[in-house]
Amino acid sequence: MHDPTLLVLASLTDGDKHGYAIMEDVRQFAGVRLGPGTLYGAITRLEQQGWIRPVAAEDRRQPYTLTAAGLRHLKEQVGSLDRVLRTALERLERV
Amino acid sequence: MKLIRFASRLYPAAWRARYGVEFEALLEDIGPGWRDLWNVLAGALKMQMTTSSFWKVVPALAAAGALVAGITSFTMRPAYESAGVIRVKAAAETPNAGLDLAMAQHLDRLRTYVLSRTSLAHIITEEGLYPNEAQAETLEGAVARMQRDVRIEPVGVPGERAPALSLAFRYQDPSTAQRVTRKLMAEMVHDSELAARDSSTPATLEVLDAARTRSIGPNRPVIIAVGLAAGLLLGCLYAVRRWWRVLLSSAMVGALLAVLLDMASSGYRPVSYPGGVLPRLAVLGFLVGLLLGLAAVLVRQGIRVAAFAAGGALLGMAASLALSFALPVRYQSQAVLRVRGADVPSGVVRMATSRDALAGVIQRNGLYPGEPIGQAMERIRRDLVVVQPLQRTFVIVRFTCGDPNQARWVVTGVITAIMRENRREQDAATGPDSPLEDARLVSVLDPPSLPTTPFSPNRGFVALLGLVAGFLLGPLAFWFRRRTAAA
Repeated sequence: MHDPTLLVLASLTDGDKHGYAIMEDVRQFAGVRLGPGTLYGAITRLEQQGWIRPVAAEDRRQPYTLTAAGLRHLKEQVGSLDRVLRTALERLERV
Repeated sequence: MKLIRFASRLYPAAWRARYGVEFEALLEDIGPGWRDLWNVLAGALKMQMTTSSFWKVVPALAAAGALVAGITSFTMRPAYESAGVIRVKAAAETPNAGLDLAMAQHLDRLRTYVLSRTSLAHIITEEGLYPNEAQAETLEGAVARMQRDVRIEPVGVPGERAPALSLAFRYQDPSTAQRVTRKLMAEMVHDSELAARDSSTPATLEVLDAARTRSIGPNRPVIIAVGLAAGLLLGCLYAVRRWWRVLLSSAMVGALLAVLLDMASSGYRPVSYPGGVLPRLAVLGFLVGLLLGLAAVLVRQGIRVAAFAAGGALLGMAASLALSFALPVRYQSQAVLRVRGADVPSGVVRMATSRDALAGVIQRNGLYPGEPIGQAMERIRRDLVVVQPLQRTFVIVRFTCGDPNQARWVVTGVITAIMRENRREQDAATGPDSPLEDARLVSVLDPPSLPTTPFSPNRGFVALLGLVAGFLLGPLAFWFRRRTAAA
C-alpha cells in the first residue's frame, strides 16, 4: 500500500495533523516514508478534491483535517481494499 | 540545506504562495538528505507539468526551441561554396536530330568520370580534404562525403541550344573550395578533350566562368526560426494533453529537428534537397520523434509500463545484435570500367561471364569449397553482378562474399576477363597485335575496392530494428500480462 493520498487520509482519521506529523504517523503505521515532495503533492491533490482542509495554525506548521467527503472517499477505498484482502486471504487458505 | 531550498523554489509561484511557508517548515523539521532533494525536484517538476497553463507552456517551449536552435547555429562550421560554369559547345557535324539525347549521354559520362572514386581520391589526397574521414585506409568515407559536396548540373544559356554546366563544391575553407572546384572543372574539360578524339563526341567543353566563392551558411535566422516554430508547435500540442497529440507533436518536431541537425552538420544547403535528402531526413526525424513521444506517453501511463518498454527495447536490441553476429559477414568489392568512344559489345561481357569463364574464376579463387560445380555456379551468379548503365558507357562489376580480399580478387579477375575478351574480339576481326581501336578502348575508372566494412549484415540497422520492435512489444507484453492476471 503505497498510495500517498490514501495514506494521508488514513493518517488524518486519527485527528488533525501538520505535514511532519503526517509523515511520522505514516512511517509508524504503514512503514512507508513519504518524501516531502510526495507528501505535499498528495496534500495539494486532496485539498483540491475537497477531501481535506486546513485548520487554524499556531505557527508555520499548517495542520489539516479530514472533511466529510474525504471520510466517505476513504471508507469507499478501504471497503474496496477490504474485499480484495478478504478474497485473497480466503484463497490463500485453500492453497 | 541550501540546495533543497533552491529546489523548493522550482514549484509554481501560485503553489508556493499557498504552501511555501508550511513546506519550508516541514523541510526544517525533517532535516532533509539527498533522497529528499530528488523527491522535492520530482515533486516540483510534476507540479509544474500539472499546473502550467497554455500561456506559460507555449512561449516557454518556443523560447527554448529558439535558444537551442540559436546555440546549434553557433556550433556550426562555416561553409563556402565555390561554383564555376562550363560552356558546352555542340560539335558541328552532330546532326540536330538526337542532339539532345547524345548531349545528355555525353554529359552523364563526364559527370560519372569526375565523380568517380579514382578522380576524387586523387584530389582528396592532393588537397588533404576531409582529414577525419581520410584517415581510413581506403578513403571510402572521404570519397562518399565529397560526392555529396560536389554538385554538377546543367544550366540554360539564353540564346544557345546547348546547355552550360554548373560545377560547385562546398567546403569549410573558401580558398580550398575554389582550388578544388577549378581542379574538377579542369578534369572535366580534359576528359572532354580526350573524348573529342572520337568523332562521335557530340560536344566539347570550355570554361566560361572560373570558380567564384561565396559563404553559404550557417543561415542563423532560418535556423532560429525553425527552432522557434518547433517549440511553438510542441507547446501548442502539448498543452492540449491528449496522448495522440503528444505523439503527433513530437513526431513533427522530430522531423523539423532532423532537418535542423542536418543543417548543423553540413551547412545550409537547400539546393541538395530536391534530390531526396530532405524527405528521407524528415521521415527519419518523424519516426524518431514518434518513438520519443510514445515513450513520454508511456511514462505518463505509469512507471511500470515505461519500464516494460525500456526493457523490451534493450532485450530486442540485444537479441537482434546476437542474431546479427550469428549471420555470416559478407563484404562487397566493386570496380567500374569506362568505355571510351563506343559501347563494349554486350557479347564481350557475356563471354567474360560465361559458364566456362565463371568456372575458371571459381577454381582460381577457391570459391565455395566442397560444393558441386552446379551449385557453385548458381551461387556465383547470385553473388556476382555485372551491369552496364548509362547506355553501356560504363561496366560496373560487384562481387559479394565472406572474405574482403577474395571479393577484390574475383572482381579483378572478372574485369581482366572483360578486357581480355574485348581484345580477343578485335584480334579475331582485324588480326593480332594491331593497336586497340578507339571504339574498343576500355579503361579501369575505379579499380576493385578492398572493402573494410561488411556489406551485410548492417549491425547498426539490425540493432535499431530490434530496439524499436522491443520498445513496441514491451508495453503490449505489460498489458497482456495485466489482462491475463486480472482474468
